[in-house]
Amino acid sequence: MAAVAARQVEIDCAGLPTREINQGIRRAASEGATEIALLNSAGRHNLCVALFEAVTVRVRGDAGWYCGGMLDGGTIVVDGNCGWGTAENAMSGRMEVHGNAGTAAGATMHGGELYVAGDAGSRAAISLKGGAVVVGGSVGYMSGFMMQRGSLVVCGDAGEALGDSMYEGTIYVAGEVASLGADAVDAELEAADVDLLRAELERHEIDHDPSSFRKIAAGRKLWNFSKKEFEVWKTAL
Amino acid sequence: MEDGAVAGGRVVRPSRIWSPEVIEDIQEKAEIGRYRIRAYSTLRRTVHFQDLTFVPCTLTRIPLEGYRERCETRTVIGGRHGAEPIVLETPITIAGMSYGALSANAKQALGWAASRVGISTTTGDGGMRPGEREDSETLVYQVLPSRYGFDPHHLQMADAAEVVIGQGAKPGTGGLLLESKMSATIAEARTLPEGVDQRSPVRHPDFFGPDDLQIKIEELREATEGRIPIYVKIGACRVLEDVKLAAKAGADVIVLDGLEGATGASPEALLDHTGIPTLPATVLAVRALREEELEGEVNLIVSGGIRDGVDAAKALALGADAVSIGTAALIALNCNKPVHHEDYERLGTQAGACHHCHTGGCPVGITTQDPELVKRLPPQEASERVEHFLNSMTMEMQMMARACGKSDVHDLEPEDMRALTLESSLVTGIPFAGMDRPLAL
Repeated sequence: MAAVAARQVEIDCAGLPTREINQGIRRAASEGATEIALLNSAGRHNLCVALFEAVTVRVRGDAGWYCGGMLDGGTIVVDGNCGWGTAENAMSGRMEVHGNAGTAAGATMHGGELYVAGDAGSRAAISLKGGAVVVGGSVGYMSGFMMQRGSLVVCGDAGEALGDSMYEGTIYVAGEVASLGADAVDAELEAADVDLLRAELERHEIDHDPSSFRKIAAGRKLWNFSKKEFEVWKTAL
Repeated sequence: MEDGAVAGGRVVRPSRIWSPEVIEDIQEKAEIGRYRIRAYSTLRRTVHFQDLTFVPCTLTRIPLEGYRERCETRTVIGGRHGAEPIVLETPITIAGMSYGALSANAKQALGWAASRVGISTTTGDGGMRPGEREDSETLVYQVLPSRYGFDPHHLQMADAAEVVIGQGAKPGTGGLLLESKMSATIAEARTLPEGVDQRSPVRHPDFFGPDDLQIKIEELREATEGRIPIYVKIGACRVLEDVKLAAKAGADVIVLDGLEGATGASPEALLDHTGIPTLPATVLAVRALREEELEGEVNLIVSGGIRDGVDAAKALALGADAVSIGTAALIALNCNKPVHHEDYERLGTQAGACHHCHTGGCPVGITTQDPELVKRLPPQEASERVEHFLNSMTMEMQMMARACGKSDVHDLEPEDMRALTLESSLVTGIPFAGMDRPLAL
């Protein structure tokens, strides 16, 4: 570990066990560092897990699975790509992935924000419970599956079964939607939606007309069983 | 009704295919338009621990004094990867049951009882109830597919984490909590709309198979800096393979829940037609760990249909490190107690045969969120009943061990038992009573 400048710390991941990297981040934060850079991340799994400290960690490369998992309060910036479960179950804080993210980006997030500049894989924002997942590119199939609250913003296209079985929450898509999932329905884009989208797009410097997004919400037919709606239930998961 | 039974002076001959039960079932489905839902576990007779008997000491070996000699029950599990192990004063744990499925008073009573006895309790689908950490001295935090209420700070407060792959009552299908129990409080804890029927996912959102599970377990260790053991709970299906895979994925403790495992609500078809019973599951799990030379290193907790200390002693004799109980603890709380008869009747049942937890109308305040019903379960006295029951289980385990000449309940072994049924002999490899060697196909 070498101090680059006051309150900036670099950790070279090469040769270090993951535990020591994550402990190194916490230790640096407790010693007053505000910016921590991870070098030679080399797609390592479980980097920056359970980051509760108000620091910014910059991963100068690719990260593996569960990078930023259980994030609560910190900021994580990944210059490269991330594997599965990026920022899964984040409570608060902010994560940016400048490349692509694998399956289940932002899974079960309770709060905070995940921004993926590239594409996200299947099941993006699955079981989202709060906060926002913003994807500059496209998302794969079953994104927003069983979403509960919060919002998923997709500036590209969305794969099949978008928003399947969502309870609540909102999905916005600028491009094509391959298909909506069970009980996911189109909803009217209102002024508040446009304001939210405009703020997100400006923050990420994405050039899109906020009023051009398609809004998808829960049809609420799956909230309680009805024997008169068998077709909904036959395929509902 | 038996074939040829006489009713009203006439012989009636109901069909064995289209029995009165089947007729009732079809007509009920014709009314409700879906699968039937109920709570508790299968109503089937399964091959069970009750099919085994102990063969204590006689002239060939010397017993310990049944009522007084020292017999150890302390059980230490979860130390495989250097985490701080879980110490159970007796080899019993309280299974994961959610606040939502159970009332706050029931959860509190279980926590207090377990703490006084020196065993663990487990959270459930919906996360850690406010106060649950304080109520339970040793608390296992479940990591479920839904992640309802999952909070990493709660994970860090826990003594162990349990990744739930499935449960014995309905392996391969997620949890169920119906409208009547989805109160405002429960809904908010799960970030769900009040009054919805909650059908939990069964697949984890961020991993699928055993290789993924390994990375997930490592994530949980990173989040807790390796301080706490990681359990993996599996519904008993392909046990030999599943136990090996869970062990390879890094589980410190495997919790194996058999077909007799119960639940707060489930499609009835799953209760009766999925999974394998706890007895053969235990045998297969022990064999799996033995084949991988992980016996004693990866600890095994078995659950599903454990009703007393005798069932528990038999599970230990087969090689389990501990048992987990759910329904038995609820019955000790007061479940199915013959009081408030009119409320059982309102649910269409009676005390002694009630399995209507899914309705949310529990007459004794255990599986309900109705504040008036919950008042019927004062937690202090309820916890004393559970404490007494747990103590009775410990005494029964010790009694069996001492009779078999063992000064530690974990020293019980298959040779201390004989099978009373051909099925139990076949699945356990324990000789059928009266035969000098195991049955083999």
